[in-house]
Amino acid sequence: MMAEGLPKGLIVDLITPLNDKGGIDSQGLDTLLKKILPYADAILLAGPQMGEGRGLGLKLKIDLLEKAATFIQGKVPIFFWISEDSVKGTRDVIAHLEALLESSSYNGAVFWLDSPLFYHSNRGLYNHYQDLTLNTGYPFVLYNDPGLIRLLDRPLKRGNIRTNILKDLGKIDKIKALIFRGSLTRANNYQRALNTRADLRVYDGDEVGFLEHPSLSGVLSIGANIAPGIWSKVTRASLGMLKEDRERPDYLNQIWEMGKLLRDLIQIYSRNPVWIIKKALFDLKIIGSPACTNVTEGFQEKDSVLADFISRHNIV
Amino acid sequence: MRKDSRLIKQAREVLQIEAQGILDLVERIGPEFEEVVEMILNSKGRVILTGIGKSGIVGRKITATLNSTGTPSLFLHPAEAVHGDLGVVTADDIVIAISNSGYTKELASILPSLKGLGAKVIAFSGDPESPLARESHLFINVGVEREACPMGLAPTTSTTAALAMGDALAVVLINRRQFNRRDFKRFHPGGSLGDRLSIRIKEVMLKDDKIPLVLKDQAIEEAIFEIDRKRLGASLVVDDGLVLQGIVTDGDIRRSLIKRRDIMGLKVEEVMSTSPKMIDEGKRVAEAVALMEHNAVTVLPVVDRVKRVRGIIHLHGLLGGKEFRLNDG
Repeated sequence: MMAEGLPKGLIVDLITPLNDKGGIDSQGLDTLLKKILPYADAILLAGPQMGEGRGLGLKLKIDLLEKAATFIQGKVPIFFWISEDSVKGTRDVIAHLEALLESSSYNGAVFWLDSPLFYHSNRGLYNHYQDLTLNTGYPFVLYNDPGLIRLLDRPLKRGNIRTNILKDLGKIDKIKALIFRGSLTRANNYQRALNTRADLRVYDGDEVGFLEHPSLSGVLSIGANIAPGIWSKVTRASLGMLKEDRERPDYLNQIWEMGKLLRDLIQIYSRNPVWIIKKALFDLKIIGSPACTNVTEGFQEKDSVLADFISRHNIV
Repeated sequence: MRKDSRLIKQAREVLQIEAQGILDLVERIGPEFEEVVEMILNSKGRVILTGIGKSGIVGRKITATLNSTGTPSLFLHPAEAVHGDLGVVTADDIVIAISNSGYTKELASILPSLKGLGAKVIAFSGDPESPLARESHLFINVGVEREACPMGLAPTTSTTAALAMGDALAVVLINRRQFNRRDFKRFHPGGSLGDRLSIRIKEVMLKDDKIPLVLKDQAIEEAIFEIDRKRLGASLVVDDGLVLQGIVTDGDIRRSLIKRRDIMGLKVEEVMSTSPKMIDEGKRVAEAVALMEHNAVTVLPVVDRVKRVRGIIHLHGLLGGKEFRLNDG
């Protein structure tokens, strides 16, 4: 289904629950989504950071989308990261995923989240998207993440979409949103570049940045994997969506305390968010295994600290 | 040192975000703004601002700006409105309702009444789909993309944007009404002493029938009556062509009484001073005050190049409170 608009609010950068054999942990995915869906405004699957999208491979991606779509049932839009290391690879992923969606008659909203500089340069990007959007069935969300591009270890490669190119990309109707990580100055420049599109949302891709100066479209959150209720509350407060709650006498204090708690959580998982959060979800018996596609050696033994923090603060 | 740098960085970020909020309005402002301006210009009523919380404070500031720039305006508190203050609204009025979310229930509760009274409602809101935007006659989008304050604890960029849009409206109205510096001073009689001193004398002098005048061959009784009527402590003495001949002051009359006991029957020219200090109407108040102080006088005739009387100024009028006002011409 082609969604016309995107919601404001909380996008959860979902971990990909894996079993010990390296397949999708269906039970874990179901349990995790049941915990998260009441609070999420959209779910990102196979994201390059939390969803381990760079290491999943096509088969796992298809399996993940099929299972997640079954559990999500169109309740919230799905963002799915489709970028590969080449234009052809990216097109192939989209083609397979679209075939799956067609065959399953999925009627929820799906958006392809694309990090174009992961496989393309700024030069010719507009033509690339004109072509890509013409030959695919679902709308796109751009992901500007210079940190991801740095992982490619190509010193001369630009990490950010150039502002004037983004301005052109904003004219393509099928591009519906941008998830942004980067400096505040660049955020302002991008905002100006996209001003002509009132329907195009710009989400913060950086949790800490959002907690400091919230974008009024919303945030892509890592921490919402473990504290979706608190992230939802803080996001909605930041977006001015908690009208009734504002009248409670201690409202501001509550939101302040929640924000502080989220910052403490970020401090705990920021060293290795995928492993630490998966380990916590495993300790809390939400997923069946903390297995990751790529685990930093020697990290495993230290990290029950997040699960302990969650239990201590009674975080839902 | 490092701590200070961090604070300054944060402060700069806040200013950067708020500036961006206003810059976004630059791109977004459109024909609906022109419609608002025309609606206000064509209205026989007042512009009534309403809003609650920080939007209310912004509304009060816009009210003050509109009033001081020639657009009659008042602020209506939504909570007071439902308890009787709606009576201030007439069918000729235009109400600007400010709410970033557009869901403020206090505003929602008075909207039907405002429209029922026949007033036109303009929404200043950040959400075109909000009830306030939908229920208003015109909608001005003052939405911003980012607040500077963490977690929405206090509106920052959004209130700045609404305030700036109010200023834009006031300034455009100034230009459309051809409101000028004279008009501004007319609405700001309580301006600083410095402002007063910079004004030209012709803008503040007393003119026409407010000038005490006698001819030099009139009886001194006439001069005394004229001084009493015009209450400036002096009367100018002129010829038939209004050319200044001299001045008769309270002091001149007092000194004549001491000298002659009975001055009745004397002519004005026998009592007047024949070389009064005077000033040109093009000079500034500061020069007049300096001249009066230097010569220990409180009244100065204002004359043109051929010494024809154009007006008169009094020291208390120039420096004091309520007597100081711009003249009508």
